Amino acid sequence: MTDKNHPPTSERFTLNEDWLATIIGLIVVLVLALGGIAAIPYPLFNLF
Amino acid sequence: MTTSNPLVGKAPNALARNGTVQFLLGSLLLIALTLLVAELDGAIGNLFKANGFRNNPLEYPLTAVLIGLLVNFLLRVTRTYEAIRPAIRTEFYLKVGLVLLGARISFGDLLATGVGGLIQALIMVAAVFGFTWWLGGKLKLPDTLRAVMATAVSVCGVSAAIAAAGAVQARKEEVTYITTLVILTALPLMVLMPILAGALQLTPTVAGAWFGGNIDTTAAVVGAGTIFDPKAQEVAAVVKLTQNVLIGFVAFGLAVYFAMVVKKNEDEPRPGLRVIWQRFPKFVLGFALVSLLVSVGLISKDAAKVVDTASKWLFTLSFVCIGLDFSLKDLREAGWRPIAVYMAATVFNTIIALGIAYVIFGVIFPR
Repeated sequence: MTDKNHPPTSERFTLNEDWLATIIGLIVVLVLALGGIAAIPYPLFNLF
Repeated sequence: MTTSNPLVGKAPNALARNGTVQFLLGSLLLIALTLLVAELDGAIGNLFKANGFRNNPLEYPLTAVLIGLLVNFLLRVTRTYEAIRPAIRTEFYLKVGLVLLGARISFGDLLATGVGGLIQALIMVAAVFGFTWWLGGKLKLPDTLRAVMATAVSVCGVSAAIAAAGAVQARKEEVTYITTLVILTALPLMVLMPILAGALQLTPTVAGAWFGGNIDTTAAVVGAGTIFDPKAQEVAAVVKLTQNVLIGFVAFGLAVYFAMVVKKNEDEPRPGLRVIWQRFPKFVLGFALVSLLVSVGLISKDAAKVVDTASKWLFTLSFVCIGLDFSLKDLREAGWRPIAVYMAATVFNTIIALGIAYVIFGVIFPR
């Protein structure tokens, strides 16, 4: 079977990527919320 | 002309080490570019304000994509693109950003918008998938290509294309090709749709539902919503995520159809219902959980604001990656017919999404 006939290899990564994004997102939320961080420490970033 | 691959002939450890170095290099570049976007956006905003404009018409998603495109061009010209490629993870940064965006949307709003979004998604996916599949058949596209294309244009762009390709065993080239078309159409739509929504005097809710129902890739949906209005961004994200949830069902349906009809003579195992869960976009659960935590008061309103700011950083990172990821190379070999089908499907999608968004979010569930 040639390489052309294989399903995309990124398919498997995408499944893991979803969980990874969820876990990292929740960790960021917990760190920011429980860590009592009052603002993202970057003074010039005021556009948002 | 061929280019020599610096990784050819190296041991696996060296390859892995090289990949890590490339990832770190790319990450540093991405962080620098995101900070550059922030600075530029602030400066552009001040410039407009100084000249009497109330709002900055060049919102940060557009600035980020333009910076990404410019750096993409420079990296390719200097042949250093591959040195940072592993860090270009548009969808990953976007998914983390969407989990964090949950902090801005109350769980009640999420459910209310989700119900309307689900009705819209069911109608849109059926209509747009059916139209694209039919037109692709008329123009004699291969079944695998039109399955990937119909899923990408009707559900959620790149991730849908990958899921459909796995279900129908499409060729890698077909996925790459559709991915390029998704980004090629999403970029102009991200800029034009907020302008059109303004000209049509749509409410932020209807506009957001229109963006979410029409633009294929989730990053550009969030970008268009951001450009139009914060409320439009929320609705656009929820509507798009609701549509994303359907990918498992579409992938399952395609897998069954291809196993029983298209490739019925091939000795392949029959797809099971677990495909639906395998394809389910799990980050939607994180998004809903964060929204719930804020709504029940486990995360304070002040903390939620900081989380919301962090989500914008990640969106900026994702928008920069859209520009960095763009390549026209794969379109050259495909010919005009797939492009014609994709463009016709996009026009069809745009018109039908406007009508359905208006009826559902302007008439049935006006907010």
